[in-house]
Amino acid sequence: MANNLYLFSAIALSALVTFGLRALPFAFIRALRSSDLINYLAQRMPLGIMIVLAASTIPQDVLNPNVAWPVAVALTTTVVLHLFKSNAVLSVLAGTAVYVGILSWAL
Amino acid sequence: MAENLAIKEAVHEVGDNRWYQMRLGAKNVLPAAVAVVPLGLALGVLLVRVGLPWWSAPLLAGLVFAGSLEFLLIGLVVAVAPLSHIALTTLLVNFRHVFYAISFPLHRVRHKGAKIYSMFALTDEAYALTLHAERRNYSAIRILSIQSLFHASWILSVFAGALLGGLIPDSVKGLEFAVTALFVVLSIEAYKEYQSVPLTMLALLSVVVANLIAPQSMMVVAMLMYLLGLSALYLVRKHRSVKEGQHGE
Repeated sequence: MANNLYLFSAIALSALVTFGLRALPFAFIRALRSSDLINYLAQRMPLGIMIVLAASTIPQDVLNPNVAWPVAVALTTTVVLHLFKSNAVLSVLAGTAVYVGILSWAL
Repeated sequence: MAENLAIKEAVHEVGDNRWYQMRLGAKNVLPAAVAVVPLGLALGVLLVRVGLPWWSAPLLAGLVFAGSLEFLLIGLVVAVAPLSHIALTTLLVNFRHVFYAISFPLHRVRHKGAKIYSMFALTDEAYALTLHAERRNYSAIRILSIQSLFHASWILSVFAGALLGGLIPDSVKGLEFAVTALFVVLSIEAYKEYQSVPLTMLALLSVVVANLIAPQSMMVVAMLMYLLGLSALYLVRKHRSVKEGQHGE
């Protein structure tokens, strides 16, 4: 288990890197606003990054059928709800509720 | 009549009525501040559930202030991942923030300390809620109240989750799925913004390959592969347009 010093260091480091990413670009704001590559990446990054994040937070042993079906049902709930209702809070809560429901009571 | 209204509005816009500007900001941020409550509760519950101390909840929420990363951070900290891994993950997951500077109206915030806070609190939501700041002439107070009220809502809901988490029985499992669901929703939103099947395939391919070659650090490797792929596509396109330019002559 993580000790407190490690916990503090991890939070401080992550806060510092995040602040750097948010603040540093303002020092080069003119160059950034006119860079072709930056504008190209800026438009196309969110899609891939979000897909990678979604994939990497899916339960590790998802290839095991016992884990796969609750994941599949919960994901379907989230995606279908979101396509029809476009309400992020609703989609996240409903998908999570379905997953928690299956894991806590049906298995 | 309409003219009177326009004048009235104009007076409000330039007048330095602080309270009024704060209320305008509050009005802008309300939907986001409410939407983030369940997510904050889930983060707080998860944090205590995996065995981290309750006081780390407001610390994490207040200092890192980057929702999706905080969820990932909990997993990394519990696994006692090396600090270098934590820095690299933060860098990659939050790299998109670099692009927010391009449109964020920082020049409207004059006070130096306020400027620093404004950069610190430049979250996805702050970026999204100030997209029209230039056109609609938002004041510094309005921008800062959007950011700080959102910050307060996030810290309070994470803290509440951590404190109330103990009330939820241990038989309740799978709360961490909220993160996956959130990113799936954000993927759909990102796809609506930029509809591209090839880029979706590139991302999925990166995931599969990264999972094969580096299952332990799949996320970081997959993101790097996606970025490299994008840069390659950019170079190919540039090369092609240069060639076409030559043909045209």
